Amino acid sequence: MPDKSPKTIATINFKGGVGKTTVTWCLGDVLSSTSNMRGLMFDLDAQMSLTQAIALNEATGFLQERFGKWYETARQRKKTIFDALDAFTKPMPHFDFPVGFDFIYQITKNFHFIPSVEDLYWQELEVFDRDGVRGFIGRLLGKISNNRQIPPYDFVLFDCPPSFTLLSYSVLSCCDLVLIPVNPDFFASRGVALILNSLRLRIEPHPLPKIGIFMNKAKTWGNSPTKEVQFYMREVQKVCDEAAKSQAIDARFFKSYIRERVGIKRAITGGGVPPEMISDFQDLWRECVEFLG
Amino acid sequence: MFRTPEEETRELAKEIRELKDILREISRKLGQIEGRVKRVFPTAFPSLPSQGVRTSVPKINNPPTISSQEALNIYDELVKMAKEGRKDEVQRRLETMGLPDLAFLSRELGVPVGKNKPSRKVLLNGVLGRISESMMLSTSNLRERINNQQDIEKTNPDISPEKP
Repeated sequence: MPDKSPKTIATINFKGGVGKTTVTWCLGDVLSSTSNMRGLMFDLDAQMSLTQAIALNEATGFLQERFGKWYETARQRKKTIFDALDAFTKPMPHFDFPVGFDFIYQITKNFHFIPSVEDLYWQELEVFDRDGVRGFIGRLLGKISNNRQIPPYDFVLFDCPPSFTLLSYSVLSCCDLVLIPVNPDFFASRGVALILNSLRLRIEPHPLPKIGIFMNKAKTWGNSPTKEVQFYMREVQKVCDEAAKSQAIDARFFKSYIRERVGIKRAITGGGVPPEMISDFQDLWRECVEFLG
Repeated sequence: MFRTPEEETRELAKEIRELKDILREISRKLGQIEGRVKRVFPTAFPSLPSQGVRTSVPKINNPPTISSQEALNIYDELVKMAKEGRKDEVQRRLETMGLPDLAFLSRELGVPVGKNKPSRKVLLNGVLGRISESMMLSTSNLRERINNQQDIEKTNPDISPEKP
């Protein structure tokens, strides 16, 4: 029997501004629009960047009407990710939180979304118990998979905050792959060493998922990365190999990279991934799948 | 006071480098003054007769004598030397490198130099900067760096900082 469970991928980096949100959305958009795959995407960041970007209509600057109405209803009916977390951590024998399309927003037929809410700040204030939250994402995915009204997903993407929250802990202890975007500069590259050397400590005693690192915002000259980008790619590769050995983690630096283009910044609000960049995300996905085996 | 002959040699090499830098600066200033005087009194500076065959100094635009892979191998070697605490040796190796090769190495490392014909000093500083970055990136954390430093000091007490 082939494995029908979706590939779960968490985009994470403790350094801000490396492009986690844009990459997560672009990857989901490309996969769901250029193949037959169906995907679900979570915004787990209390800063709500992904949620706001999806909601924002660039032409008017106002919330898109369809999403705006749906979002307000979800909040009123207490069907947000925070309400799900609240229900999960209540001292009850069952996780009583029915899931449906009042909880999951359909961006397109094949691309669905669970938005963030400001209330997620509460989980950073340690109102919730760490071990009590750990199984949350796994159980929520189980509920979604078992619901016959929701179609099965081929992939699930998580846009994680640039800090280690309880939800990050919950995602990391159940996802298949941690995807770390890095930028071609010293500080971003240094951030990779820090995250790789601290991930194990953060989620012990649970096993670490596979970790894939790739270069984002790569400047190019002709069809190749510039020499400066190549320098940082080599350095990050070394950092990755060193951490894999010293921390006993399954980490790989991907050969594929995402090019820096002006259009990509407006991809979410402006209606899609620039056509010339689609192959970048397809290549990245191919490498993710190959790594996951 | 020097504790060992090696320490004295190192200090001597450092002083020679500093003196050379000073002389280069003086020469640059003299050149500027000479240029201004020449413009005002051109007849006072007749062009000198040819001084025979001039030795050709390789220019920055000359083709390098090393390939891209060789440049990267040299760089890895320099990083290794720097990690072992042989920073003077790294500096010497770069200083003795031909200008076209140094420029090529700097290009291969993507050093942003900002000019068409950067000076040797700019190129050298750029490569040294990349070496520092590589060293900082390869050492996973501050504690590890401190431990490494302590290990080096234990095996080579000459480089330990002086205690009061």
